[in-house]
Amino acid sequence: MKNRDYFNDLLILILAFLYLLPVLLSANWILNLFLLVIALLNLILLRHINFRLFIYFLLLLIIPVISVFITALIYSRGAENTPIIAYFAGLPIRELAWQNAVFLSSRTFALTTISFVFLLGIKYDRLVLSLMQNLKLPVSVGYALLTTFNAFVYLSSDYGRIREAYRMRFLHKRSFLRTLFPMLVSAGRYAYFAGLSLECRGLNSRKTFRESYPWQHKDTSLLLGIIALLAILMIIIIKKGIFILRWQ
Amino acid sequence: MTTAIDTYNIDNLSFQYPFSDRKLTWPNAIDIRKGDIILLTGTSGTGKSTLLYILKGLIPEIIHGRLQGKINYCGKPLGQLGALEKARIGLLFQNPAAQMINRTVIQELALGLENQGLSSSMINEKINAISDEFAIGELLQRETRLLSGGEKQKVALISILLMDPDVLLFDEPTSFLDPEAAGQFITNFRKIATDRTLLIIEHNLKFLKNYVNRVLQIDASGRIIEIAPEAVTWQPDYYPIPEITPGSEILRIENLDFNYGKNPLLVNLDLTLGKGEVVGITGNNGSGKTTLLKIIAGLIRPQRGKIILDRKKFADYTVKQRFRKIAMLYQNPENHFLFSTVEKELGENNEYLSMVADTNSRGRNPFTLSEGEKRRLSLAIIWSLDRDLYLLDEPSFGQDENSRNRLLQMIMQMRLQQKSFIITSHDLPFLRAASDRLLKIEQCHLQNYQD
Repeated sequence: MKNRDYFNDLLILILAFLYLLPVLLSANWILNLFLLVIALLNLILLRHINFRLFIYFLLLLIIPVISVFITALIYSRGAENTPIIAYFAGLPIRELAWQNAVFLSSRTFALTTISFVFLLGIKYDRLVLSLMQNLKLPVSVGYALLTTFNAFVYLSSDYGRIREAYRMRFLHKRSFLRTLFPMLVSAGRYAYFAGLSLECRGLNSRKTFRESYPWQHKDTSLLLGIIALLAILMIIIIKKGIFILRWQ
Repeated sequence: MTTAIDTYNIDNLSFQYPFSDRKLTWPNAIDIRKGDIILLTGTSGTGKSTLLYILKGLIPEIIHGRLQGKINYCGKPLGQLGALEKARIGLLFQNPAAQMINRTVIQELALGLENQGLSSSMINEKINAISDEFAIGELLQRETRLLSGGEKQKVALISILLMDPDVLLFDEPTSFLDPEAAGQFITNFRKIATDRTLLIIEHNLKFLKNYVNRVLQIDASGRIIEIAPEAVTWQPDYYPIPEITPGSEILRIENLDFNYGKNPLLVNLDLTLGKGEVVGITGNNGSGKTTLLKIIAGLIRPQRGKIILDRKKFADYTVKQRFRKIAMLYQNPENHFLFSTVEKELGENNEYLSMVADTNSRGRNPFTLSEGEKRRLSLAIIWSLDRDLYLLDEPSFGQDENSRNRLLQMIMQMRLQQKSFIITSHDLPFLRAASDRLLKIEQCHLQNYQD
């Protein structure tokens, strides 16, 4: 069964790195946010995003971004004579410290958001199957990855059950480390039985796939198109001197 | 005259797990032929599942231990078989959850066929045909983690059958199946076994009587011997618990509704239970038996309904107060294990240790016990809690006749102390012997069970 209706998950993974790279090279906060907006728009066109989860993520992200901002304001270059106390005391803060703080927090925000949103857009099982089918990832590695991803779901429900078992026996005041032991055993046993199950079903490198995720012409076209678009945008931006890159 | 083909040639076989003093021995030379249907019997914990692992070729390559003697499969040493040749030997695990590795049922069913190198269209064709035969069409797109125990067993069984193996090694294939699915399996049994070699461990022996042509028994010392089929007790005797007059009301449920998402699972459910009373509940796989127990234990909340526990509203209890009155036995015994040894699990309640296994087991890790021993340890853990209401989910799973009768005796003794029980199970003979009343969940409603 060939899945031709949508773009390959491998493409989404590559696109994530493609958008992260210029953010890593950028030395300007507006460029960071600009790249973030383009990346978001691009992904929304390709994938259905769980917006509720995205909003929760943004709310959670506020804390680390503010932390980075304040830390940079205190410790980054240009902040030597302008501790945060100075700001609250109404003393002037050097322009360079502001710039660094805004830049570093925008960078953190853009990198994390792009990574997370693309993660939301990727179906892990389709990605691993695609890696095995298109990039010849060994099936032993591919199925180990698939099993590991599936294990997270099982282990999260196991954690709930272990907690209930403690509560039922009035042992819930024990330390968190105590719950770790059965969790570790549970994880180990899951891995052990998964290995047995794969062996029992004759996993081998000549296996076929019921669902195939081919790398299609439209994936290549889109990838080349986005590389070209990003390159053109960057050239225009740099030539016009609006933004700067780190090596400039 | 046709000559039967040997599937296995075994001679002077022995196996011992590392750090274990138990040894499985098969001193005589034996041939297992194509077309044999062999029942593997013996008390729980003697090594029946281990023998299946040996015959599958998992021991000693994947599961380590000291294996000695000769074991050939179709004339070739078992250890020299390739992955695809080994896949011709199908093994169904005792705990079906252990076999699930894929996210969805259809992926799980397809895995074996993909490994055999079949084309996508052929795989879909085979899956569609078998899903019609076993009526699992509605399960195909579901996530494996959300399946009930019985549904998992059905999927595990079908995924093995789909691979069309030459040898089938079944470790309690019907233990989690509802009577309807078990009946379907039994009806298909002759067809499944045709032109194959089949070794089966099963405690529900009644249905096997007409099919089995050889019986292997593992005795308490781990010695494997062949016995005559006539020597087997095919119809187990359970000693029904004597009737008593229930005491005052311990539990009352009124108009309870529970939905999974938009799908109703339990509708307008009423149930009353007196002190010392034992109520048995059966029903098809996925009908909501475990969910009902979880609701009563307070682990999940119903959308509607009133629950009165010992004349007090359920909502008025704190978690601690509720667990002072209720103990629940999970379907998967491993969910009860929190410590590194059997002895630590039971704490000061050593009197329950004899329930689990021999006295040597006290220092063993609970996870290394056999499935039957695990079930008995989980029962021992909840017995030691001394609560008023016990909710038992498949308590007879993996138990032989003796262990089931001991379990019945334990229930009998405890009900004399006014302890009450709600037992959910597919094991109807056991449930009949254990219960004062037998109920069934059918089409979301709880009703009296009728044969």
